[in-house]
Amino acid sequence: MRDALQTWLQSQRGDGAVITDLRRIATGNSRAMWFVAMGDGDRYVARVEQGGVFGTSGADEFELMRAAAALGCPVAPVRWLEPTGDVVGQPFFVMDFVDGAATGRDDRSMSDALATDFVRRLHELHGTDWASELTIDGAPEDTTHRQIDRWHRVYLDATDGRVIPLLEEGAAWLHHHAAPLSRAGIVHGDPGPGNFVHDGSRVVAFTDWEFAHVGDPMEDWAYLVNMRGNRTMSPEAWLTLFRDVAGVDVTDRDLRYWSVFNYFKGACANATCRRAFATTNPAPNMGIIGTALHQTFVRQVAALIGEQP
Amino acid sequence: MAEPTERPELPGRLDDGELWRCVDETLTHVILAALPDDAEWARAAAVQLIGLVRYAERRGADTTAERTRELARVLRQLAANELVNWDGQVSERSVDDAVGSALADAVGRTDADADEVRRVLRPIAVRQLDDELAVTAPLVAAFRGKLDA
Repeated sequence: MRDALQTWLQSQRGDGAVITDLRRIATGNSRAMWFVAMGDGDRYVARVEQGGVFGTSGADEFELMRAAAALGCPVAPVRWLEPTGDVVGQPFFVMDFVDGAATGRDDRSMSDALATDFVRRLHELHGTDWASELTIDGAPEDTTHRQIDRWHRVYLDATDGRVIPLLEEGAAWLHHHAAPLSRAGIVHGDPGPGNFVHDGSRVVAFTDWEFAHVGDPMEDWAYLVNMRGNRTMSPEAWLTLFRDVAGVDVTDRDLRYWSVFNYFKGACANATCRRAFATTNPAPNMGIIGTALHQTFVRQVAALIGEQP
Repeated sequence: MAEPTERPELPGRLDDGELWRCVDETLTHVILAALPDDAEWARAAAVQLIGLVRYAERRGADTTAERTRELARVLRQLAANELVNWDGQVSERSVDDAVGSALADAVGRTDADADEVRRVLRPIAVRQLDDELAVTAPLVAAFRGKLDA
């Protein structure tokens, strides 16, 4: 990989700089993250796809990150995109390495000051004028239905059309109960501890943008409460923080609906890992995400829906 | 002089249990123990691999066909239900198509057919998932870096 990446970087940079350090950073399952140091002192991260994991593309992620940076959001500047897979065997893009701290793989803690800044910056992301930098297919007010259909297609593609009955119910339930969207925004899709770099009290860069899209920001707030942030603080503490810092009220109905959505999305995304495990990426994490984690998320969808029609 | 103890006769061929035990022991006590603390990705992968090995040891036979037959029996019971559209084939794909369609079509309806789907069919699908999760759940702990004893 080193030689191929170095040659490609030299052509992108237009110089002959050599790679002096290349090592995998131990975070993330959807992408392999490689720290790259060049002889002239420049430092990058190469974010390499892993065989269609999660049904997301580096090209879409690159575009969302570029747009977020242009809109003034904290994000690592993206440099170059290699969408073909011809260079290192998988598509990838390169961004600047950002100095700062990131929580460990299983650490979900945040100081009060950091949590406050995190909520403030996430709310700013949601409120940006995304239409000045991004185009989407279809009307903004239909994004929730399009996201449900998107994830439904992702799971059916991963299973070769084999239906998972409780996910069929989940998709129907989400369509039936979707609330009208008053204002679409950039949704990060996987926000929270572990997916941003900070300096101890302030967010330096949001990371892991593979699930980002234009949609209902409520998706992110519910995700923080019930998923990535659920070991950071209590649901009540999160909801109070959203209200105090961002002026966002998350109702019980919002929380339930978007929790179903997030578990549905997770179950569908995780189904792709079963496919990857059998084909391009037979790593243990793929086998586990594609089975146990996928099933756990399906179970959460079923539990949250309960017997309410 | 001690009496010779009775020992079971060893077959020449290694059985699956022996092989899994060997992989587990070696990964846990040789490979993982030798990995430095800062080799985070390798350590995480090793723990996840041990989790998969233990899953392989304990998971038993594939019960997919049995679960499909159970759902097919319920679909037959619900033959008069207008939400059940099944071609009668007891294949995983055909049965799952019919169950998924019935569950989805019942959403948003409060009539007797929809209620029957939720009351009779849905609990079977949920219980079957729980049965599967009972076997796979320890993998979640391994994914997070924790191993059972």
